[in-house]
Order: sequence, then C-alpha cells, then structure tokens
Amino acid sequence: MVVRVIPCLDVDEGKVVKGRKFRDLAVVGDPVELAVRYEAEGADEIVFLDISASWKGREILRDVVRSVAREISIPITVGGGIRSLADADHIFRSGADKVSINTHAVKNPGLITDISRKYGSQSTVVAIDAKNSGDFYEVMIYGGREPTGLNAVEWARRAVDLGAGEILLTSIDADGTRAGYDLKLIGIIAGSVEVPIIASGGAGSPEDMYRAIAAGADAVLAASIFHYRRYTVYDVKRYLYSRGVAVRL
Amino acid sequence: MRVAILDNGAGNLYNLVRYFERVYGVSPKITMEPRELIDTDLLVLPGVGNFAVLSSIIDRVRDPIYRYIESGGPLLAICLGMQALFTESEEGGGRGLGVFDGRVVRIRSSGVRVPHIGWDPVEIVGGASSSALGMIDGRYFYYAHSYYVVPSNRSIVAGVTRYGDIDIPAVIYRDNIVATQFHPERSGVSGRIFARAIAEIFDLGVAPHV
Repeated sequence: MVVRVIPCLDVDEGKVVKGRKFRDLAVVGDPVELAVRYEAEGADEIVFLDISASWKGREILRDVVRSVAREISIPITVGGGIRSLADADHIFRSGADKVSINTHAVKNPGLITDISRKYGSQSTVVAIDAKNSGDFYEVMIYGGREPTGLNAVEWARRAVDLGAGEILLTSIDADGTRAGYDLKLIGIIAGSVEVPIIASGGAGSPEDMYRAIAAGADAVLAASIFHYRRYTVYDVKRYLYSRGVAVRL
Repeated sequence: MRVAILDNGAGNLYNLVRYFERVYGVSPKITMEPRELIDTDLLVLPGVGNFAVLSSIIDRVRDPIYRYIESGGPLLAICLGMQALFTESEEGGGRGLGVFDGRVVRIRSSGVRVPHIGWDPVEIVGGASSSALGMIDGRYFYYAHSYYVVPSNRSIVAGVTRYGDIDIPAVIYRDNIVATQFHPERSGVSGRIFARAIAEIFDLGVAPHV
C-alpha cells in the first residue's frame, strides 16, 4: 500500500492561518498559492479545514475551494462547519472531492449516512478529535473545546457503520506541539476499523510521520512544518522511501 | 471537439469538467439530453456516488447510450462509470449497462483498507502495451473505491493495479470503449498523459498539453 502525505490548510475568512490550539492565529499565506506549491512538491491530497467563525467566512471558503480546484489536479478534502447535506452539496459543487465532518456528525450521526448515500463512502470523511482522558480517548467537538463523553474507538466504529470511508484522526493533546503524533491513539483506531486512517496532530519531522505509519496510519497530515518550509512534501516522501515505506515520488 | 458528460445528478462534476478544459481545451456539456449524449465526439460516464444512484440515472437514458456505443462512438467510463458497464454489482441496487459480462465485487483482501483510497501504479498488460496506453505504464493514478470489476473475458483488461493480493482491473479497453477504475481527473500529470493516450486511441484530433 502506498502511503499518502497530506498538507492541511486551516482557512479563516479566505486566508490560510496557523495557530496553536485555535489561539494566536497568524496568517501564513494564500490558499491557492500554497495548494499549487504543495501539488508541485508531490502532495497526494490537500485538506482544507474552515475555521471561520462567521457565516460570511464559510461563503468565502466556497470561493477558495473553487479557486483551488481550478488550479490543481489532485484530490481536495474540505471540512469545517458542515452541518447538513445541503452544506455538503455546496462544498462538492465548488470542487471538493471529499468532505470531512466532525462536530455535526456527532450531533447528527445520520448526516454521515446522508452524505455517503449520495456521494459514496469514499467521499465521506469523518474527522475525530480525540483527547486522552486517562482511561480512554474521548471525542471532543467544537474545535476541541467541548467534551462529548464518547469513546473514540466506539465512535470510529459507529461512524464507519454509518458510511464513513475514512477517519481523519487528530490528537488534541499532540496538536500544535510538533512533538510527534499520538501513536497509541493511531494504533487503537487503526486496529478497530477497516477504513483508511489519516493521522493528524503533532507532526514535527519526517521521522514522526514514519512512526505514525508504523503505528498503523495510512496517510499522514501536517500543517505548520510544510507552511513554514521546515520540510517540503518531497523531503518527507524521500525520507519515508529511505525507511522502506512505499510512496509516490 | 465535443465532450458530453452524463449528468450524475450529484453536482460534483466540476473537476471532471475542469480536466477536459485543461487537457483538450474544450468545455464539456453535463447533460441528460439524449441528443447531446449521442451527438458528441466523446461520451463520458462519470463516477462518484453509488451503483444504485448511477443505475437509476442510466435507466433514463439507456437507449441513447446503447445507440451511441453501437454506432462506434468513443466512450470513456470512470470509476463507478466503469462498474456501470457491467450488469450488476455486489453493492446492489439496479442494473448497469451490461456492455461487458462479469461481476462487480467488494474488495476483500487481508491486510488492506477498504475503501481503497490513494495513489497506486498501473501496469499495462497484454496487447494494450503496444497501444497508446503503453505511455501510462508504471505511472501512479488516484483511486477511491470499495468495489472493482471482474470481467468474464480477461482480454478486455488493459491495465491492473495491485492491492493486497488482488490484481484490480484498472483499465479496460475494447473497441470504442476505455474505462478506468482510477480518476484521471485527480491524478495530476499522469492524468494529462492519460488524456494524450485517449486522444490517440480515439483519434480525437487534439494534442493535449502535458
């Protein structure tokens, strides 16, 4: 199996931003320019997460998706604030290949089924933000701010039963630290479901990505290490290749 | 040159439209009009969705599609569109076009994920190696599917991709029909090279920019 390397762009009011745990947001660039650069570097997909608080911000996101889709020819996943099938329709119409749902999948699990019936499970990503609560990994919603009491393993299984074709798994504890992915979390979820797992949160180096793959991830996602050019996507893939991981070079 | 894409009703065909604009410099028509489906230089059966949805759409334009194929018109079927060339799918729900004999089955292989999502190299096999499809041999393409085709007649398989212990038919080629399990429109440079191969095979009279 060929592992995917996926840059993630957090978009606020049409600009790519980076903040630690949703605070101190700094503008890091233009979504189209970054997406074009990442495709050229060998990105296998690109994920956009809309973190705009406003309705207007979400309108802008559709324009962003359209502009990016016009320029690149690799798959685009879009998440953030998708509450209904109608929201997903708009995002697909703008040029997304997959949508990612998170908070509103928890609040209304039927949304997973609605989207996967219409667009196929391969286009339906369920994002899970998990926090280590000592005894188990707890699902968090609203950008990691609100606990749900749900066990991430059970939620992942249920989401797949309902039609999720991929799990975008973010460790709230590791996110923004660049201290490495939560390997235990990846291992537990990867062993519990049949669908591909995209590991997210904590990437600081290509070696972190290698470890996530060794722990069971099918794809590795990162934001800041790419935005700030610590590594290019190509650097990461070359490193993975040198460690015996199959990648598209 | 005219390209017609069967309207899958889901409204997610922008990337396919953009693909043909990019590779052939033409604006395809997304349509359910029998006349437009027949009167074209290339008919495209798109993927995405599920077998039941696509077969219910096909039901409405079955005759024009058959007439187009019988007249020798070039047909490109992508992903689910490829599966719809067969009669039925394990995914259930309705009839496909039945152009080819065989089955559409779910990926069952130990140690691999389902759906199969990501980039894998295609190996062009048999007689197809000496066709224009030879130019995509070994190149990586993007896949996103849980089901794949098992044709009764293996000689129509022009390319395969290995997934777990399965050789998934990635390209089918017979007469005026080319079908792919992968998404050329999402496959970067490989997709543009594929467009060149198709232009040559179907003699479309366009020289795609790669």
